[in-house]
Amino acid sequence: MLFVQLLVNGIFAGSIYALLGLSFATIFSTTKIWHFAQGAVYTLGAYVILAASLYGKLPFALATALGIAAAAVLGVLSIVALYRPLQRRGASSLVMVMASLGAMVIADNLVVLGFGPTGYSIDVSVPATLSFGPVLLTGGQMVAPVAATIVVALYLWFLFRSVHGRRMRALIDNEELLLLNGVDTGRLKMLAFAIGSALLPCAAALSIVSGSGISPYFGIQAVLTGAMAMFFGGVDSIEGAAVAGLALGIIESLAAFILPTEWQTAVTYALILLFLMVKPTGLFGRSLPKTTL
Amino acid sequence: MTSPIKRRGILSTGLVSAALLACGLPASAQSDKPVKIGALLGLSGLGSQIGQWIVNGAEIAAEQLAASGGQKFTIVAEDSQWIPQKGVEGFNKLTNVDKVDVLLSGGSSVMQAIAPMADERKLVLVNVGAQSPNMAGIGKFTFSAMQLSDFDTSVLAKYAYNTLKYRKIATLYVNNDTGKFNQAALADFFKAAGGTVTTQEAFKSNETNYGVQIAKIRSTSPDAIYVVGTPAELPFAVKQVRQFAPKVPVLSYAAVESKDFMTAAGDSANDIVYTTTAFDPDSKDPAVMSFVKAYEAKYKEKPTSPYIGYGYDAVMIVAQAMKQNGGASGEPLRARIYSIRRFPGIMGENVFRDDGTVAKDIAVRKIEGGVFKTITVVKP
Amino acid sequence: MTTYIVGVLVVVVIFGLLAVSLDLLIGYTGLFTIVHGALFGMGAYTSAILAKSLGFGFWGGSLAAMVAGGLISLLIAIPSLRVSGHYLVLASFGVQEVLHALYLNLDGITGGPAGMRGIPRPRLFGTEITSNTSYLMLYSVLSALVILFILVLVRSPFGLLLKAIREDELVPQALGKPVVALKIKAFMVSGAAAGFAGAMYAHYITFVSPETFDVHASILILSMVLIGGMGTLWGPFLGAVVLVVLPEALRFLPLDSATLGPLRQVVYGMVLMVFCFVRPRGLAGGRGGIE
Repeated sequence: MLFVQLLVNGIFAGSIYALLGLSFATIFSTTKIWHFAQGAVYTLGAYVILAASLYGKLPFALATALGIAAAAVLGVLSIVALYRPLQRRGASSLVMVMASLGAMVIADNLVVLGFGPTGYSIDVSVPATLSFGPVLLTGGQMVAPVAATIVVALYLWFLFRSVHGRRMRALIDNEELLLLNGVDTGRLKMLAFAIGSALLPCAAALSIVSGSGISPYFGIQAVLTGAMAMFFGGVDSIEGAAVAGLALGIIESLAAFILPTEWQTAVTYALILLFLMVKPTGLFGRSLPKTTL
Repeated sequence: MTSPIKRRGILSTGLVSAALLACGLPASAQSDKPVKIGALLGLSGLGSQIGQWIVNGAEIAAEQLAASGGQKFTIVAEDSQWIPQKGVEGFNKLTNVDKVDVLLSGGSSVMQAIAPMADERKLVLVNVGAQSPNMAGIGKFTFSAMQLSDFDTSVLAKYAYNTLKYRKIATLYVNNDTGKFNQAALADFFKAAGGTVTTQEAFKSNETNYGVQIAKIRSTSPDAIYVVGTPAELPFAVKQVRQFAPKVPVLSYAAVESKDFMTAAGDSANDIVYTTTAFDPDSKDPAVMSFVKAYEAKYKEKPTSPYIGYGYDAVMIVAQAMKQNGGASGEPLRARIYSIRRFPGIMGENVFRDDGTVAKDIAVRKIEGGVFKTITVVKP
Repeated sequence: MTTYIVGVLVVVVIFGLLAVSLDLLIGYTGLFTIVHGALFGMGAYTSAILAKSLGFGFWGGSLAAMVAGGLISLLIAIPSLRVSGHYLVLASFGVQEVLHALYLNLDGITGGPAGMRGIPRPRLFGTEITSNTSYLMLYSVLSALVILFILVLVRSPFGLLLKAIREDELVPQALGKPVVALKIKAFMVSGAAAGFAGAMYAHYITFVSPETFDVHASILILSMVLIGGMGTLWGPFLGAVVLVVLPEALRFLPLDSATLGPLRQVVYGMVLMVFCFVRPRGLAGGRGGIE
């Protein structure tokens, strides 16, 4: 019974991780940039939703839409104002990562200055809690996987069926081919950043809907989870990151069934790292990323 | 409880100075030079609210002491961010640069790092912000003006068992010092009273999602859940307990008595039963009333947190002891505090035990309709 | 005032060594990792645990700390380096979290969130080191020795090979050099030095607790390397000076503390970004620029 409840919780957490994984994978696999500033985009996007709901008194769905728009803009800004100028200066990867981390530190602390260090939560009306015997399914836990599936489905449709989506996927291991065909890879990468970032407020919204708070310190956690999910799924498989994210959530939740809860995350990460040692291409990947960073 | 203002009138400034000059005590003992009281607390980032409350309380005490004539006290505040490395650096600054005569501090990690240093320098160190029971006897020169969590939790445990008739409880706690100790103490006391603890679930700092822990707790069907967390997690933990374990009563600790918690938790806060040091800002005691009035005048809000009281009491205790000592700090001050033992306090009397800790009155309270209602007060 | 400043300098020396150890990895071998905070902790906890349970002093403890740091680095490096530099980033990030969880949850061994206190001060020729000045003298000499060792290493044929690997690892590989083994060795030296810094920290503050060794510590050490200038060794030391002294200097500003904390962090982030754009080579003019 506890097992089933934990499974339910795991599916819920996994839906959010799936989105985080998709987000990170979209950006990393197409551009090979370690976008630590993604943490900043997540935090800022979540707080835009908060500000719109609490101060703008907008309905939650509209607030989320605003958050998505804001995140997309921030994503494009990241590549246009941060990474590209650095690349033009011939910056090394350390410099890019440090700038990324610097942006994250600034964003997190600006949020603290503006909203204070303790988190917030927003009350969103959701369907009432259902109970199946001793197993509870809260409204948020019902909404999250459904909403996540819709978002993932829409995104995958875009990725596999639309021209831009397919070109974005081609960036993963066929950038030269695209260039030869006269495709503007620069704009494609901007698109990747925009779409990848737009997924983040969706994840935040699902968290909020289920009663989780949003904290200004969650940024780096979002990056680590997203990165873990991506590597777990396979660096060159964007869609793999979604499945891997879901699996990650379920594994982490079920780990609490066997272990004391405080070991959940550490054990899950250790398991995934061990798995990657054995199968470095991840669950669905085909080839390894290039050795040089 | 005698008003500190009334006591001040006993010795006049002139007599004190004359006595000091006659004894040939160092210049810092003269009453026209202010005594420096350092306040090494977390003043930025998470938990800064608590540090700020303590400083505020100390400042009010210093102002009241200055207004009544006699020895002046200045509060010198430094930010420790509640972390040991910054605590040590702040300690170095306060002792070497500002040359404080007494130090107030808190945060058990910080205290553990600086207590040995305070002993080495023979500097009286007053704990105003660490509840962990391992603060007892942490240093020869360390006093705890703050109630340590063991008495607190024992009162709650007994109340839960005897009055509320709970037989099984579970704990949900933040995986840090405060969380671990508080819930362990409650569990031990509850078992000693005759109850059972079904499970103890930890969550990490800044956690936002408590589903797994609450699921595990629910599967053990406890009569109540004891929740401990820092301001970053407590309101959300409580909210989610209400969501995922709707009919299970919630017990908690003093931290619920804060505006931040009440705003963030909203309706989930109602019906929480908790214990806290018995600070009643509405008390008709003249000393409390003048304190509340002074606080409201300066900070434009009513003092509700006991941390404000700890800061206030610590300064008052030091002032009283120093006065009887002719202003000496260090070893004589330490000895004097022990010889006086009982000090009036804004939240009930402060009685120091041999290990430097205090025993204070504990209030059992319940949140009803957003109001903190006192159910009963238990004396040590 | 001098004692206070000397105290700050002791911390500078400890973090300076940490930054130099990371530079060996990033600046000379070209390996990017986010795990030095946890390695720092490994050294600190090893020394503390041996002191409290077996009565080891600073000297035995710091030696053990070096071994511990080196061993953990080995454990991270062996699986990762066969795969890719990207995998190493993730693995180091993951190990940072796992180690931090160990420090936090293994109550019986590490004291859990309450930490471990009462770590003995170093004893030299029978006398205990107590004043900040004696600490500074002892730690400066020890740090200098380790940094000198790294310097010699970097100038040796081994070091030249590392630089060749950093520039383009296909070349030494084509020449038949055991590239992966070399990287692993560099990682071990880096980890051992970080472990030693950890022991120095533990025996100075006399108290260790998990929050000192989290991912933010790793990010701080990375920042020191960047600001100082990677690939120069002395540059990152300078970076440590800046990033330790600056927050301390900010104490003397008459600003409200609730604003000061986050503001301090914002300034830190901005300093980082300014360096990235304006002076990626860092203060010492390292190789942060041209790839």
